[in-house]
Amino acid sequence: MKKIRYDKLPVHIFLIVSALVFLLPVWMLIATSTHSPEEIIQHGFQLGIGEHFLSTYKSILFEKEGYTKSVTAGRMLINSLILGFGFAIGKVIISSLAAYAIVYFRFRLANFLFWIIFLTLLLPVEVRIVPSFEVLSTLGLLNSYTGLIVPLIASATGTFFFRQFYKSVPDELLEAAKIDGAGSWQFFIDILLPLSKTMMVALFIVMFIVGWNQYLWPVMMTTKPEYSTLLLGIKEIYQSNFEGSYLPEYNKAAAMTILALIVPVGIVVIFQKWFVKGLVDTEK
Amino acid sequence: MYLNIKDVDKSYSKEKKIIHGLSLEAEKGEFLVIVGPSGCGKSTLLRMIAGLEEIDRGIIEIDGQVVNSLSPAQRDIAMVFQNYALYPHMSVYKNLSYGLKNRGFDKGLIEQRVHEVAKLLQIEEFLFRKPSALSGGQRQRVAMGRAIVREPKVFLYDEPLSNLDAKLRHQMRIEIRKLHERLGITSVYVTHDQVEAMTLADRIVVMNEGKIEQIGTPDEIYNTPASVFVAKFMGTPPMNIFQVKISNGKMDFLGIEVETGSSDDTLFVGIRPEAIQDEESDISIEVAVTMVERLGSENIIYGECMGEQVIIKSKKTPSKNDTMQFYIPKESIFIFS
Repeated sequence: MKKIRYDKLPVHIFLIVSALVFLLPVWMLIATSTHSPEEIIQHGFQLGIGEHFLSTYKSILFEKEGYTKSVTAGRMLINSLILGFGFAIGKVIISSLAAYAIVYFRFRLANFLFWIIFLTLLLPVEVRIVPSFEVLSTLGLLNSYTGLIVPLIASATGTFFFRQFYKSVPDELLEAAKIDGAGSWQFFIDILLPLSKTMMVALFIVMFIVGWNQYLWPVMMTTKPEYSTLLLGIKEIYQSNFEGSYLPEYNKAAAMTILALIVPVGIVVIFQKWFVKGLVDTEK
Repeated sequence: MYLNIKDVDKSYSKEKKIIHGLSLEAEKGEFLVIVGPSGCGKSTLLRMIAGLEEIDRGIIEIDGQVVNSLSPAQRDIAMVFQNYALYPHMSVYKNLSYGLKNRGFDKGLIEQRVHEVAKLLQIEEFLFRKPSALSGGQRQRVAMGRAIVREPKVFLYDEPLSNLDAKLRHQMRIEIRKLHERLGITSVYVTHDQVEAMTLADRIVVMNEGKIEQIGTPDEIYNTPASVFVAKFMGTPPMNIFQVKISNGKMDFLGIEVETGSSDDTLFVGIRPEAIQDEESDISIEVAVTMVERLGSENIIYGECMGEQVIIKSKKTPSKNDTMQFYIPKESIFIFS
């Protein structure tokens, strides 16, 4: 049997208590989502598991919800996934290519252009949201996945990280590849991308969560409920609760919050393994 | 000539020229070692041959073909880098085969060649390991293997042994020479280590400040250095150099008059540390010992003689502040104008 180290006990107690404090709201959401709306109205948020687990989740995933009753949470989940993945993958691709151009092709103004890109870091999406909206509406891209994703995938942060990484790759590697007959495209695909795997996964995780949590942008860009994301859906349920004449369906709101939580947590958990593995494997 | 470099210039900025009108030739199968202090342009010269640097003026020919405007891959050269530059994410096998794959070789042929080379370099058992799992010496072999597997026209080595420890460096030096004798591929080897130069080269090229100081066999370089620079650079410890005044075509050096044809005011006189002996000979000098380095088989004695610093290689073991008698045979004195 493993010996218990009593000197470590206070630390563990502290950690366990902290973990519980952080988990409590999540647990309350899960528990609440398994009760009926009537119960929640009467007794408030719940700590025990109720009997309506299956029915609640079934109804939000497959029954049309929200203000307009025209879209299911399942559809919203898919929209959110498309936004999250499109956003993250697009950012990784665009920023790795941009950084490759800046670092390896010593064209004139490369540094200048880099700093221009870098400066856009200072401007959050919210600042350019009106002009971006104007452009997209002129292009007729409102209410489309393209309009939802493409304007956001240019990434100063990503370009910056890739640039710093590429700069740390020894020049001899490029020279060796040149002598081995690799063109610039081949060098990128065969050498640079596999080396930056770790970087890419890290950036992907961060960007997926940023994309998933986008709120203002989808609100502006989509007016049709079939393009609505989970986050918009949650808001709509609460809104209909307050403004509508129905019984407030807090159980469904809680269930959708859980849905909105599971995916990013899953992404982090899955990719973190790869992330750590990449850290251990790669050696420049 | 197999490798022909004619009147080549290179500068990175307008003020500073790296290579000045340099010409160099190598026969097929020759092992050429370029040696010089850091910043003398030797690596730049090698990179110009490889096509990694453009040249401002002049011609570079390999096997009768002007390669000035060819890319590194088209020049059919292979290069071994100082830090090996192995692809860290590829196995040894993939590292070796990458160049062949890019040249569209048949899979079966690639496999055959990689295995041949791996056997030659005794890295067969590591073929499916990543470079990070190899020791320095093994990585060095893989880097060599990547060059050999292509069967190029010219091998270029850019200080390939300077990342290894002394023992391994010695061992790899011998192996490189053996490999060269076996494969007979024209090689250009850049190093700042004159021992590597002496032991590996068919001919040594001594460079200084972007120019060639002397080209010759190791013996020629050692026994008839063309300039003070070459004399000081080749040989450890370095040659003792004294500045000597001339009067009436004669110099008065260490009490002995030496006839010279030169009418220069000052000359440089060089004596190798190993030429200063215990046995009685033409010139006798008295040395006040200031320091002794014990090497085991012999000692390096640092001392003062008539106000000049001297270095002597000797079997004697004096202690500090001793005054000792040494002799110099006349024929082992070098005179440089």
